[in-house]
Amino acid sequence: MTSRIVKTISRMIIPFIFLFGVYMILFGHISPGGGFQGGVIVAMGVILAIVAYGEDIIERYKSEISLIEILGVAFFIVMGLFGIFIGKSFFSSLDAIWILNIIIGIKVCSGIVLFYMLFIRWEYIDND
Amino acid sequence: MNKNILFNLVVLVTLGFFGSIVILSTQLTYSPTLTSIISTYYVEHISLTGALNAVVAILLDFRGYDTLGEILVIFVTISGISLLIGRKQ
Repeated sequence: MTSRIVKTISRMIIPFIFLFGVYMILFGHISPGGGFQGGVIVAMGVILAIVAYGEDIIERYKSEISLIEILGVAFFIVMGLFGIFIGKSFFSSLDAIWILNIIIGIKVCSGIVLFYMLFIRWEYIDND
Repeated sequence: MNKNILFNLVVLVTLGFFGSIVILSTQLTYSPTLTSIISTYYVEHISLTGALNAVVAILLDFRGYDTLGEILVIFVTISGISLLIGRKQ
């Protein structure tokens, strides 16, 4: 559907987008950035792959992506409840901001990809 | 039809009235000293959270409920969109 130029350039540039996004998630607590921003950058890489190579490469993983998105919310609440288990209050300080960053990054990444997939399907149905 | 428009008008006027009351009350009770105390507390106690980035420390530690609501907003939005336009045909 797209040209050979778009496929070649996106194949060259997508690994660097993923690398920058994962760096921003993992180093969110000591440098500018954070889980939300890094997750959005990784999702932009996935969306670039969908634009260049078509929707079929990720369509069969849609239920898994939805499951990851729901589990992200669940793990975030469990991390909040963990403060109660060690005798503090809900969402008390655990010295574990990098774990929360990783959870938010995975969850936001799958959420943005799901947004894109839902709206691109809606466009297809509208055109038919 | 006419009654419907009247009902919408009444709802809009009521919402605008209470919204302006809320905005006016927050503006009148705003005190710069209180907010400066809170912000200096955050900046001075970043070392308690184990993070060096002040923005992430506030978002994920001092204001954890804000981030929880943020990710719940994305979750609820995706659920609603999937319910409305996500199915085949």
